[in-house]
Amino acid sequence: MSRISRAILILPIALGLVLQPSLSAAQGAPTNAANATVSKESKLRAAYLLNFIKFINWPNHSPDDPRTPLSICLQDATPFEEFFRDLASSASKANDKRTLQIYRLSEAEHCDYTYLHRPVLEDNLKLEGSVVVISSDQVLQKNAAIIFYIAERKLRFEIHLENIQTLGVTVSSELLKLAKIK
Amino acid sequence: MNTKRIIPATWTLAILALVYSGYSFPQSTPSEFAEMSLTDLFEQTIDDPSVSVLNRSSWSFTFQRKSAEFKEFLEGDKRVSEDEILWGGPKSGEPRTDKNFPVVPGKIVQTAYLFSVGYAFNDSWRSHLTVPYLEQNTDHISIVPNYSTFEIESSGVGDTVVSASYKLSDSARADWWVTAGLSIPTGSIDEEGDTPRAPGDQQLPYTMQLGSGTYDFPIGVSYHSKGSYDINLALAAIIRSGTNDNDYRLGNSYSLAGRYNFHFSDVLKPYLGLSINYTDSIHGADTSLLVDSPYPYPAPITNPDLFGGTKIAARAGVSWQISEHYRLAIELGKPLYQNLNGPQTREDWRSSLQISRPF
Repeated sequence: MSRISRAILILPIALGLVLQPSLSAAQGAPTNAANATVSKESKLRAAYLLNFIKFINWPNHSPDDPRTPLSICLQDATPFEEFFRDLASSASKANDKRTLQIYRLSEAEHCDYTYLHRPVLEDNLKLEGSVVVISSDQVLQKNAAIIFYIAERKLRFEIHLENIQTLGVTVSSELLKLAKIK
Repeated sequence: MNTKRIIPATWTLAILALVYSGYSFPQSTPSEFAEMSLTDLFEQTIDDPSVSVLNRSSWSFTFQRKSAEFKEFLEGDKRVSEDEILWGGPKSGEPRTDKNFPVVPGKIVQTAYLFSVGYAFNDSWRSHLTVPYLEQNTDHISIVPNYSTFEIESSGVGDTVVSASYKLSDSARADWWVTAGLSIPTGSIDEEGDTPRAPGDQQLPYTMQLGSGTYDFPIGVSYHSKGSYDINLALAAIIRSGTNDNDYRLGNSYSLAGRYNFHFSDVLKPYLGLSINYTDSIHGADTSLLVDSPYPYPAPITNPDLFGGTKIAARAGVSWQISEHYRLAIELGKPLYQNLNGPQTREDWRSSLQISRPF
C-alpha cells in the first residue's frame, strides 16, 4: 500500500478518534434542569423576544449607555422565564452592550418591554409606554405591539404599527421586513 | 489488501459515525439560542418537542455522487465526426495530420464520490475537508491490430481539498461568503493500463489520472439573496501551481454559476441554474504518452493542447429537506454551448446526487 493510500485510510480513523471526544464533550454541555422542560416553541419565543431588542430603539434608552438599563417584564408563570434569563446572560457575555434588567411583572415598578401569555388590564400603570409582546393572537390584548403566531410549523410575528407609533419607539426596517404588518 | 474497496468503506463508516453522533447534540441550551440571528430563528420549525432538538450544529457532512459523460467531438464549437478524427493508417492514403489520430476515444464516463466534513468555528468562519473517490472509464477505437476496440479504466482517491470560508456580510436579505482552499495532490498521476502504445501496461493519458499532481488553490466568492427572489451566485476559480512529477500542470479553471430557487413548499425546493466555465489547456507534457513519430500524439487525449475551453451549461435540480437535519439534492446538467480546444470529446451531460447534513 502506498504512503498516500495509507494516509487516506488512516485519516478517517484518526478523525473519528479526535472528533468523538469533542462531540461527547458537546453532548455533555451543562443544561439547566429547568430549561430541559421548556419546549422548543417556548425557547424560540424567548430567543425572538431577546433578539427584537436589537431592532427596537427606545427614545430614553440608548443601547450604548449602561446607565439607562432596559426593564424587561415577564408575566408571572412565563414558561421560559429561567431560559430567558440564561439567554440574556449568554447574550450579554457575547457582545450585547445594552444593560437589561429582567423582572416578573408582579414585582416590577415599570416595564419598558413586556411579554404576556395571558391578557392583563390595559390600564395597568406598569405597562404605560411599554412595548408589549404577546405569545399568540389568542391572547386578546389591545395595546400589543408584537404578536406571535404560527404558520407552516414556524413561529412568526406580526407588528402592530399603530401601537408602535403611539409608544414613540422606532422599529428597524430589518425587523419590519420579516414581520407581518398590521 | 484491496485498498480500492477498503478506503471508501472506511470513509463511509467514519462519516456515518459522525452523522450519528451529530444526531444527539443537545443544541437547545440558552447560549446556542443566544448565538442565533433573527434570520436563523426565522428558519426554525417548532414541532419537535424534544429537548435535544438540533437547531444548528458546528459540524456538517456531505456525501455527493457526481457523474459526467463525454462523447463525440468538437473543434472550437463545430462538430467533427469520428471518421474525420480517426486516421485510416498508411495504407489508406489518408494523410496524417495533427488533427487525426490512430486511436480515438469513444465515450468517457467519470464518476466521483465526494465525502466532505465541515466545521463552523463561529457564525462567520467555516472550514471543509473534502476527499473524492474517482472512477473513470473510456472506450476507444483504433487502427492498431488487436486493439480495434478497447477500454481503459482507473479508480482511486483523488486530490484532497481543505478550505476555509468567511462570511463577509449577512442580513435578512442576503449573505456573501468568500472561500479559499488548498488542494493537496493525494490523487495518483501514475495510473496505468493496457493501451495500443506497447504491450502490457503503460502510463494512461491525462483524463484517466486521478489527481493533478500539483498543489492547487480553489478560491471563490458566493452570494445568496434570501429576499423575495431566492438566488445563488458563485464566482470560483482553481489556480494551479508549479509542475507535477510528470512534467505538466493542468489548466486553471474559472466559473460563474447562478441559480434561482423556487419555494414550492418548505421541504421541496426545485431550482434552475446556468453556469459558464473556462478551463485553460495543459501546460507542459507527460512525455511517456508520446510515440516516436513526426506526429507524436497517438490519441487526442494525449495532446496537452487539446484540453480546456469554454462551456455554458443549464442545470435543473431539486432540493428536498427529508428531515429537520438532512437534505437530499438531485441535479441534472446539460451543456448549451461548448467551444473547446479541439478536436476534443464534448460533454454530453452531468448529474449529481447529494445527501447532506448542513450546519
